[in-house]
This record gives sequence, structure tokens and C-alpha cells, in this order.
Amino acid sequence: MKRQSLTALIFVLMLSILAACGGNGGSNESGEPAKTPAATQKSSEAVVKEDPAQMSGEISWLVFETPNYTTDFYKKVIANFNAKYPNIKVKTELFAAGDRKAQMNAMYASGQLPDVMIDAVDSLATIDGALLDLPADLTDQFMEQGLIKFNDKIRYLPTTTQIKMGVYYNKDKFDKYGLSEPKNWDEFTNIMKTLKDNGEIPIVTGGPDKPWLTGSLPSTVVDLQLSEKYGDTTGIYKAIYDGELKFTDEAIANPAKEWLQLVEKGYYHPGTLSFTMAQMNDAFMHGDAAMLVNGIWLAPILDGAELPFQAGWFPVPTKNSADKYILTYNGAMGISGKTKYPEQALAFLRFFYEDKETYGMYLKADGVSGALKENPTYESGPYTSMIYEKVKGLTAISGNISDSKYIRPKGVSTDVMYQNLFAGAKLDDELHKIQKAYDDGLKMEGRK
Amino acid sequence: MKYKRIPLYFILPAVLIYLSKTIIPILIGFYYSLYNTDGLARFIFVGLENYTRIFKDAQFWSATLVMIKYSVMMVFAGQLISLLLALLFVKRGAINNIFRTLVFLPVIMSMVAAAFIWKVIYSYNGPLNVILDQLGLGFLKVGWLTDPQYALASIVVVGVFKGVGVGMILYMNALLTIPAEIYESANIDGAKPFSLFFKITLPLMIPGISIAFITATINNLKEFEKMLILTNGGPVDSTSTLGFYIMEVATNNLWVGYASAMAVILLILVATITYYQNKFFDSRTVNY
Amino acid sequence: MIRLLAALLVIIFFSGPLYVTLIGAFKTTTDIIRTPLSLTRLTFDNMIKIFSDSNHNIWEMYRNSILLTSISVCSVLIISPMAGYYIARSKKKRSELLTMFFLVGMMVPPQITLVPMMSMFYKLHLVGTLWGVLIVYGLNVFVLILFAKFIVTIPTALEESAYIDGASTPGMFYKIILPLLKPMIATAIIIDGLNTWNDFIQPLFLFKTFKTITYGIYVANSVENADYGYILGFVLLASIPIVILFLFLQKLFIDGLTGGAIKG
Repeated sequence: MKRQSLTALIFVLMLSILAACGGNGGSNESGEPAKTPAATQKSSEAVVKEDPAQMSGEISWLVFETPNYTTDFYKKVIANFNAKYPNIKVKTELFAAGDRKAQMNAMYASGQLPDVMIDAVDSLATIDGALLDLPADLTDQFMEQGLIKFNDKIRYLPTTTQIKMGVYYNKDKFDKYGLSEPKNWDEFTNIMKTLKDNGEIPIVTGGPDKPWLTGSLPSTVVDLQLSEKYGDTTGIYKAIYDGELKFTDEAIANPAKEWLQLVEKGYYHPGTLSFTMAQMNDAFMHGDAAMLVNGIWLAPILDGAELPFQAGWFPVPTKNSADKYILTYNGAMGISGKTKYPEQALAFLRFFYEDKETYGMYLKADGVSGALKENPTYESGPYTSMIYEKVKGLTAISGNISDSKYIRPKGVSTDVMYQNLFAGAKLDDELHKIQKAYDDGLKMEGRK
Repeated sequence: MKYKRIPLYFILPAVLIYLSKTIIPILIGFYYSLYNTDGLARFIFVGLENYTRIFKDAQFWSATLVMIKYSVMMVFAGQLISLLLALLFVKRGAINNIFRTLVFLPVIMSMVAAAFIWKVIYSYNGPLNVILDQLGLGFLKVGWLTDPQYALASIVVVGVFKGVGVGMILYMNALLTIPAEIYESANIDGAKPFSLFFKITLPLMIPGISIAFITATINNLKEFEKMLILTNGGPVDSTSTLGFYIMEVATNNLWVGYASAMAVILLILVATITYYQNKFFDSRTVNY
Repeated sequence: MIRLLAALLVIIFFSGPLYVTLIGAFKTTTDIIRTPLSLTRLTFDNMIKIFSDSNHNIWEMYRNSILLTSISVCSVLIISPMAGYYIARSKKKRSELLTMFFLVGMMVPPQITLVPMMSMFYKLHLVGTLWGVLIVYGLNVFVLILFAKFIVTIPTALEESAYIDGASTPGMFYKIILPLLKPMIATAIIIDGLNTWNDFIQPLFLFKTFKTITYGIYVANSVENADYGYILGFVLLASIPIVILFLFLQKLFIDGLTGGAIKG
């Protein structure tokens, strides 16, 4: 009687409290899905606002943090933006998972997509309405090879072009043993042999959460070699799609085998497979390992660090030469199709690219170049400049797939395969596995 | 004991919440399993095709094998150690208290936290190998998480670290529910401690053991978080349990329909094993 | 003797990693990589960074974690004993059925339920609401079954005599059963409290607006060039409140346990 009503009372109290607070879930952010898609341009809101100061609203911007792109960095970008658009508030959100694409899918599925996202929206681009179609006057400013059309519309923009993998090396060690930059793969292997014979650790890589660390060298070698026949990455994946080229073909198996030799001969740092990028860079920068394969983004870090030695860079050698490198368009910045502030989000997107200072700042931080037809230039540190000088004499091979038809099905990753190979899997088995995964993937996605 | 009827509202709230958060999503999941879908936009009805696919999928079978290996290792190592710890530290006392707290602290930590710490410890230049070197046991150094031979066992160690605290408490609970008089009467009869344990203590603990065993089995069969954080299923799929494979297929490949079908199979598997475990323990339950 | 050896092993195995964490939170990343065990060069930099990081507000994260956990524990403590009592005192067939019914909840792989729950939440506008929290965290099936199995071991004699004396069921429940459940209640608080506090998957997908502190660890880990010191700092901050709670409840727990040993 008394007790029963007491329990019931507590329960009712709880429910009423919940009902009362049901509306405001925690902090105020645009997490609440808009009831009607705001993708269509409402005619009531003037399509082009005359005065930026008049535009008001609040947008969320999904970003990722790296040693070069810090919280302070993003704050500066926003500050620049607010100088022109003082009434639009921008709040940053961090990618919460290592796998940005997976998180993007999850956020979309639960209706929690932020307004502007700096990366990974490409996984949503195939879904109509998920992303805002971008206006032509904005997309026309970009280099065509960097754009990819979905249903004839551009849904996201690349943020940078990057010189992908190259070999950073310890010049002091090379000089000590009379070594010079290799002109082909055989010379490359000999360098490693010499280093190892003299008790040095030739090369280091990384592993755990970022398979591309392990795959950096092998996939670059394979792609560069394939490009001799197929032109560029789009050509390669077109051939695979058409069935002309299979993962199990010699064209892929042979360079992979050559790379595996390096692993088997013990040229890699012991325990390297368990290194994170931090540990990998650390091993090189402390002089433990003589070489390292990494992207252009390492250069600004080297510029900023006080290396105990002189470093150098050469492109990844293939069987016959060392005169090519892979250039990719990176990033996939877009706007949610369900944003409540499409005008404001677009204004922000435009500002990011069109404001020379802001975009320049962004490029400089990672040492990369822009994706526009006309990009801001900046002063870069010694190593970054050195690399850019060097690539002027080399051939750039596009690392992007520019036709959405040939995009790899989700889950097919050559990097993971290389990781498995490194850990001891058999080459034939892995190649067959990935071919099967590719075929299955196309079927499951209804693409073939 | 038909002395009263308990009003329905005693169990109603539990059932309501349970329906919303478990039963309905399972039904939806089952619905998904009949489609080729990515959970977002693609929905193609395929009937039982996902299920027939499972039988032809080599990776499904190897993942099941890994799952069984993992569960067997975890349940036996984990339960044994939990029982030993409970026996060691069950009595009152400040020292016992300290040890109990120590064992339980890993349970308190978030899974991400514990996994992350062990990742650092297991890394090739990490504390574990450093200590092995210092002890002159450098030849034992291995890529704990990167060598296919050792990765799964290494994860089991993390599981033990994180899980035995709960088992210990459950066993302690069970030990303490045994009335003191039973021990007294047995002692009067001159029984030896060893046989005392096996003939009296253990049988009386069966309800406690059953719940510890069953929940441990269930949790281990479903396990994927540790693998996700520590090894991402590698190296070479040696730590890819069925639970992990399902999650990978769902989030990586976006084959949500196929993943749901496998999850349904996993559910049936777990249910069957649990049912027989429950029966086993029920038949051994003893009441003095 | 054996006890000593066992105690030593326990100390090394269980406190070793905790030690690494504790001092790691006060070291720089390079130091953690190169000299994980040494006590030199301790610094507060990580802590300062965490508290001044503008991407999140630590206090808000704590508040969210506490909010979710309290709601969960309160709800579980109200619902579970009652439901457990119902199951324990039902006829064999019904109780077996109900136990099996709820056991499914423990057996179901989260992979089945996560995606459907996300769509369900989205369509019903439950994302980030407290009702959603109640659905996800309001019931802990493990605790429910624990109560059921535990109450079964309580002899019915007391209830029978109370019934003869004319007591009503709820009254009986409150006056007779509940007091005997003390150790179970403490266990329930610990188990459910921990479960909710440490969960990061559900806040990640279902309650973005409730950024909890364990969610914070997960985010910190995803930064490209993971700063170990920063992450370990987060780990420490996330664990301290729950450790305090546990130590505080320990007394309650032990008293209840030893009290229960003298039964019959």
C-alpha cells in the first residue's frame, strides 16, 4: 500500500522529469534531423545574399585532426571566415573514428550528418539527396581531373593534390656507405643489402590501424608499373573492371613478389608491423632506420623538427626507372543534403576555397598543393621545397579514379592484403582472395 | 507455492523496454537479412540467398573456428582464474580488500582504455618486450599482436585482464551464500579440505557457476570489440571471430543484409549453446 | 607458499598496466614510446591540453556521463528487482519461459540490433532525447536475470507467513524481500553503472548530443597521429570517478556479503 505507491510515485516522477526535459537533449547542436530536406533552394530566401554581414545562422563543420591540422588551425580558418561573415557561427566537430567512411555512413543512417564535412563524403555521393549538389560557378574553379560526376552533378570537392608516396632517406648514412639515389628497383634492393650488411636497418614501415602504412611501398610500385601499360589509375581500374586485368595476373603478382623479397630478407625494422605512424616516423627521425616511405605530409614535419642528420627524398623506383610519382586529388568536402542552412554552408565552402589566405594556409600546413585551376602559393620549408623541385623533373601519374563506374567496391583493400602478406600470408592465396572479393563486391552492389 | 499472484505491473516496464530495444530491432534485423541492402538506400529483395551464401563462404567458417577457439580459451582460462581468485580473496580483511580492488580495477576501465593500454604494452618496442630484454629473455620477443601464431592468445590475455574481476565477484557471491553450518557439520564429521571443496562447496556453487559460465560463453562468442581495437581482425584474419567478421562486412563492405543473416545464424548458435549449458547446470543443481 | 606467489602474480599482472597508464598520462608521447616505465620527466601538459581543448568541454562530458549513468542505474534498480521477483516466484514453466525470453537479449549480437536501432531512432525522432536514453539504458538484462536467480534462493517461508498475516504482495516485496537484496543491489549498481559509463558505441551512434567521457577517449584515439599521453590522460579522467564510486560502494558490498553468509 504505502510502499507500492511510493515506488509508483518515484516511477511517475521520473517519467515526468523525462517528459519535461525530453526536448533539450544535452548541448545545443544541429544534431536534430531537419524534418523537411532543405536541399532545394527556397525562393523565399534570396539566392544570392548581397551583404555577407546579413547572413546569419549556425553550421557545424566536421574535421579531422593531425599534427599539422590542429584545433588552433581550424580556429584560425573560422576566424578568417567570421571576418567576412560575422553572423554565421561555425562549430567544429571531430571525426570520432579511425575509419572516416564508416562513420560517415553511420552518421547519415542516424540522421546526424553535420552541415559541412571536410572529408569522406564520397561514400555518400552515390546516394541521391544525401549531399547538396554544388553550383557550377564553384565547381568550375576546379581542375577537371579532380572532379567526379554523379548523375551529372558534382557533390563534393577535393581539398588538395598530393604527391603521394616517396622514399625519404638518411643522407648521412647513404654518404657513409657511398650510396646514391637508385635509378631502378635493383639498385634500390642493393642499397638495402649494403645497409643491412653494415648493420644498419634499411627501412621501416607501420601497421596496426592504418593499413596504408604497410601498403605504401608495394601499392605504389605496383601502380607505377601498371601505369606503363594502362596510363594511370583510372586506366588500371577500368582494366580490372572490364576483366582485362586480374589481381592474379603477373603484372601485379611480380612487383608484389619483388617487394615481398625485401620483407623476407629482413630489411625492415624488427617489429615494424606493430608501429603506428608516430613510431614509424620516430624510428626514421631518430636515425634508427635509414629509409621510410611516406607521403608529402611528412615534409613539413621534417621542416619543423631538428633532425640529427640531413634527409633526402627520391621517388619510388620501378623495375626500369625511378622517374614517376603518383599524384592524387585528396579530400572530399561536401555539404549535407539535409542541412538547415544551405546558403550559409555554401558561403563557408566558397570562402574556404576562394579566400587566398585561408586556402593557402590549409595547403601550407601539409605541404600540399591545391585542387583549383589557380591555387595560392606559399613559402615552404627546405624539405618541402626540395621535393617540389625534384618532382618538376618527374612524370606525374594520376592516382584517382575519375569515373564513378570503376570505383572499387567497398571493402576491397589492397593495403590490407599487403599487410597480410607482410605478416606471412601466401601471395597466391591473397591475390585470389582479393579478386574474389572484388567480383563479389561488384555483384552485391548490383554493378555488374 | 500458490499463495499469491504477483501483479503484472511488476514485470511490465521491463518487458516494454525489452521489446523496444531488443525484440523489435531483432525483427527488423531479420527483415534486413532477406534483402541485399546497404542499410541506407539499396534494398533488393533476395529471399534466402544471403543464407545460402553463408554456407559457401570460406571466411564465415574460418571466422567461426576462430570464435570457438577464442571462446574456449577465454571461458576456461577466465573461469578458472576467477574461481581461484575468489577462493583466495573471499575472506574479510584489509589486505584481501586491496587485492580484490586491484583485480576489479581493470573491469572498471572502459574497453577502449584497457585495449589501448595493452596495445602499447604489446607493441614491439613496448614494455613487455623491454622487460623481456632486461630479464635476459630477449629470445622470447615476438610481435604479440602482429604474429598470426600469437595474436589470438594475446587477446585472450587482455580479456582475462579485463574480465576476471566480474567472475571473481560472482564466485565470491556464490561462495558466501553457502551457510556456515554446513561447513561446521562437515568438519565435525572429519572431512578433509580437498574433498570438502569438491563434494560440498563446488556443488552448492552451481547456480553461481552456471551464471558465470553462461554469461561468459555468450559474451565471448559475440566478441568483436577487442579485436577491433587491438588487431582489426588481423594478422591474416587470425583474430577475425564471427562477431568481428559480421561487423566488418556490415561497416566495411556495407553488405548489411548479408551481415544480418550471419548475425541471425550467430544468434541461433549462441542460443543453442546456452540452452544446453543451462540444462547441464540445472541438472546438477543441488539443494541441501 | 602458493598464496604469496599468487598474490605476487596478481600484483604484477593487474597493476602493471595500470601503472603504465597512471604515469603515461603525465608523460609526452615520445617518452611513453621510448621509456614507458620510468618516472622521469613527468609533466602536466597533457592535462592542460585536455582541459583547454576547445573541441569539447570536459565538464560537459562528465555531466553527460553522469546523467546517462544515473538514469540507467535508477531505472534498472526500480525495474529489475520487481521483474526478478515476478520471475522467481512464478511457476516453473512460466519462469523458465521468461528467463529464456530475457536471455535472448543477452545472447543477441549487437551487430543485429545496432543498424535497425539507428534507423528506428531516426524515424521516431528519438536521437539525442532522454526517452531514447531510457530505452537503451533503462534495462539491464544481465542484472534482471541475476535478481531472478538470486531471489529464487530466498526461501518462501517468510512470505508465506506474511501472507497468512494478511500482507499484500507489494508490501511483502518492499518489507521482506528488498532488505535481503542488499548485496545484489550493490552488485547491480556496479554492473549497470559500469556498463553505461564505459559504453561508447551507443553514445556514438544514438546520442551524439550526449558526448560522454568515454566517447572522448574514442575520439582522442582517432586523431591521425595519436598522442598517447593525451589519450592516457583521458583514460585516467574517465576512470577516476568510477573508481571512487566503486571504492565507496565496496563497504556496502562487503557488509552485505558477509551478512548474507549467516543465513538459514
